[in-house]
Amino acid sequence: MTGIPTIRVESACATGTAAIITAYNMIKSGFRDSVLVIGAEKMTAVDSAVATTLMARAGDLRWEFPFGCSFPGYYALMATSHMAEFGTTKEMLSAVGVKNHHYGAKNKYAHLRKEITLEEAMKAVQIAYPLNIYDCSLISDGGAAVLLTKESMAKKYTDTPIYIDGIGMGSDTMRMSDRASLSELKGTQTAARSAYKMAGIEANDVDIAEVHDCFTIAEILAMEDLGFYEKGTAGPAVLDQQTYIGGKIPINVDGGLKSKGHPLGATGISQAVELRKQLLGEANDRQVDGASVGLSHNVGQTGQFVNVMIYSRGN
Amino acid sequence: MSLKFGEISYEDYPSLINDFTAQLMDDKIMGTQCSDCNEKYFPPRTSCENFHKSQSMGFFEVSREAVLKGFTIIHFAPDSHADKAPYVVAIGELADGLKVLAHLVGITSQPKVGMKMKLKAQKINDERAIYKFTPV
Ligand SMILES: [Zn+2]
Repeated sequence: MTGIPTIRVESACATGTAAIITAYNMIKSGFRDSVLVIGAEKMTAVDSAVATTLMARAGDLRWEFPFGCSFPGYYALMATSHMAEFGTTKEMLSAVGVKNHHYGAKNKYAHLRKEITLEEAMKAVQIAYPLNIYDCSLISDGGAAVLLTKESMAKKYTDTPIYIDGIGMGSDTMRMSDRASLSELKGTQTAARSAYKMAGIEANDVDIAEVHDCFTIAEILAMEDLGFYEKGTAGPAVLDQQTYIGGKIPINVDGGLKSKGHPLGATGISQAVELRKQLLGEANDRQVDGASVGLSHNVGQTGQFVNVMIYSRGN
Repeated sequence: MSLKFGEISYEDYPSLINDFTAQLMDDKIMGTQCSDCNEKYFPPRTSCENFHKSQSMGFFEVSREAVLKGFTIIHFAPDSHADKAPYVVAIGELADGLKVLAHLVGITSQPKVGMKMKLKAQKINDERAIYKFTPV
């Protein structure tokens, strides 16, 4: 591919969808006909301690990093807040991990293909209370790619194109202490609202969702902030298996960041790849029957970047 | 010698941090307030979010009374703090509505969201100082 023009995009863990949005705009503006969007990350080149130190810099460097709050620590602050405000329990957090491992075990592209029991998930080694190792996504190597092109050219490449119906973006304060509430991600709420509006749909029109479960609490926050559940009701819904296939809204049935893995820059693109399979009915024993609208939710840092994408088979 | 905030830092600090830390060493915890709109900021900053002139920003002493809003116990720490784990990182809301992230020290049982805390200044050495929460 030497000689083909390239551009590098970076938005922390939301890089993948940021790259798709960049390509979308290059095509919509008429600047390019087609763009190949590639996300790849090799994270295992450093050990977990170094990765933890580097990722802790995702927070506010001047006033919050000096307290040694790790990246899981920032989400753990949200978890204890959500638990106190709504009665969310450790069992509900762990149930997210159990579900994601259940589906990851069935996904041949997953990093950690292993089922876990609720008991194992609850008793695992502590990382940042209340989050233990089974509440945290993986440090993964991985890659994913999608080809974006103009609607008029799509049939040249495939008989079954997938359409981008909606895009929404949101953000939040750099410092956790500047947020009015720790029990939500404002950026997700903003991004979801504009993505639904652009697609002309509502939350309950979504058939399948890929959400950014960098930590188990993040999936619970996303379920609420994306509008699938009222604030404070996502935890019990997870225990009730409403996010399994056959439930109210199947979420991360490819294993999510927890089991499929989280190679940062590839994650948002991997969500698009998975939703394409689901919308075309190619997901085999993980297929959500009749899925026609898919949502991808991708978060950078602790909510400073949030992108929501709506994909469909078109009409 | 310029004074620095916290146990570690990754940048050269602006003079605001030097002035803030000098007062912290003197057991004063200062935010900044804009005299044009009265908006209060903590940690201190040099410009008002409402686009008022920086000359309007001045130090004020923040409330020491706080309520715990969220916490975590860090077991697997970044390299810089590995020898200190486990430790509690907390977000507290001060009586004047400002929120602060800091360590919560001196606790004998698991912290509880809603518990009352005090914000205290602590000198680390001749160059560095920090603030922390303790239970009431
Ligand atoms: Zn002002």
